[in-house]
Amino acid sequence: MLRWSAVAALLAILAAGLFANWIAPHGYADQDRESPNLSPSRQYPLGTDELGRDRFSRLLYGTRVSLLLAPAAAAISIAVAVALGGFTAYAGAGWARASSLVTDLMLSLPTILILLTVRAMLPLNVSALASIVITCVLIGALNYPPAARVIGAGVDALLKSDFILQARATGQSPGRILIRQLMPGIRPVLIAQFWLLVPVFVMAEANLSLLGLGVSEPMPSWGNLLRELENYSAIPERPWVLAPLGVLMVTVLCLYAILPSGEPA
Amino acid sequence: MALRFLAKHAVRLVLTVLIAGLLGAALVRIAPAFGVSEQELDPRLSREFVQGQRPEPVGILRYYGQFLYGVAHGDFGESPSLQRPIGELLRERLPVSLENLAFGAGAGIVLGFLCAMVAVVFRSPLARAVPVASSTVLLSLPSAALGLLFLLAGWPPAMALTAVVFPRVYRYSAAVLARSADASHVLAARARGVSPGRILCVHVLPGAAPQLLAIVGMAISLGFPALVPIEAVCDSPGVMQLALKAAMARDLPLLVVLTMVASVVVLIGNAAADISSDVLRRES
Repeated sequence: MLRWSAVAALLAILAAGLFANWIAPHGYADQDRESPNLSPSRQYPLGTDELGRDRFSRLLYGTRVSLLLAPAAAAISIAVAVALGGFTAYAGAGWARASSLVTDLMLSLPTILILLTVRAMLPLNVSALASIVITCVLIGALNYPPAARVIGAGVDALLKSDFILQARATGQSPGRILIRQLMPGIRPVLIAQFWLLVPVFVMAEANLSLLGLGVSEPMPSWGNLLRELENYSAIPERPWVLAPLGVLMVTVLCLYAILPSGEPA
Repeated sequence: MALRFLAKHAVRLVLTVLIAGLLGAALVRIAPAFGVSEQELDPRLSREFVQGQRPEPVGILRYYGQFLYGVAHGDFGESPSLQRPIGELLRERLPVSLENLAFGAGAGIVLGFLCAMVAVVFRSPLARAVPVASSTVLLSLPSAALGLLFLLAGWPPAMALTAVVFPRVYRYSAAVLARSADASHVLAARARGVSPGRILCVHVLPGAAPQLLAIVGMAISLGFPALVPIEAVCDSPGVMQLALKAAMARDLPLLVVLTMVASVVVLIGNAAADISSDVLRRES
């Protein structure tokens, strides 16, 4: 019951983001230079930022970006982990050891520093859409090791099971074993890993964008909306600037925490 | 046996740092603007002159070899963006980050363990509800946002790190202690009327000590990278703030050295926790 309530609440929030074009009273980049830093009003439900952009509209569009980017990055991570897990399962002991060494190495290195290094190699002044794609691919591709470790262990256990041995004995090809026997067996692990990664990647995007290395302006995301915290001295007088975003983030991440087990975190 | 165990950890640490350095050096070497100087934008200089000024192209392995030779002699190279020796920057800033890590992660670990112990000893819903609720909220906020909130409250950056480390330590240690507290010998002690404090100190903690030490290692490996956004937003002059500045300025040589330094700190933390946890396990 709790899980379905969480799913319904998440879908409602995601729908608000997806239909931002219709729900939002203004575009995310529309500027009203005559009315910067306004308090909430009927025209601007959460007020305006220093460029006169409607905060409520930007929150809706930012929700869309953050809630789509994180699952996409998680899907990339899972795909890399499955490819590596599948590869090491079939490629022999030498390749398995090499792959395990690379995974160990990646786990030993601080991910955020690798992200910073790789992001610094790529152009910083790119279009908003390109910045979303770069952020998504980087977060997904560089954070695969924990998932690879779990999926690799799952594949390894399955490969030693009796039904795989029987499938091999009946002459099934490795491709068929992979698709018909392994994938259904490993699916619960993949789903659990996916739901565990999504909130982690929501946070990763928020951290990167807050630091100016993620989704670039004028496209809003939760991370670059949080950049308003930089003007922290004004926050106590104007709590509406970030309180709705904070509440939304905490709510969404708590809902994600409920999804895998159906229990509160 | 112990020597062999230590040597294995040391070899693993050195190999990981060397491979990380090689990857970093490869990134620097293949970066689009490697070997290009601002002089090339000067219209007064001829193309021949500028090309004459360019260093001879070197392969990745040779470049890495030169880099390692420099490191062995205490020369980490020079930061192109700050125009200062990287070794000097490290000497200035590493102590600040290590201090932040020691106080921030230390406080997070102590607080996490204390809350977990209180939850295990008292076993009341209230003893669990407060740390669970606070850790849920803290886990839902990016570390950079936590840094800014602590800055707003006028608290030091190390406390923001405490807020990052505490919820993770609490969750893992509460699970470990609860499992240890459910062991049959602990139940027997409880049935005989042994006091909760004595049960915790004499029966629960010794059983869970190896895992708790592993959690300390995890807290260090989690805490040091989390200092990147915290130091950046709190303007704390540590190496992690430098890492972000280096990324923004595309200063890859500096970033690579900082990645290696962070890896060494993280690996030493992990290795220390592994070794002490293994020693405890052998003794028990």
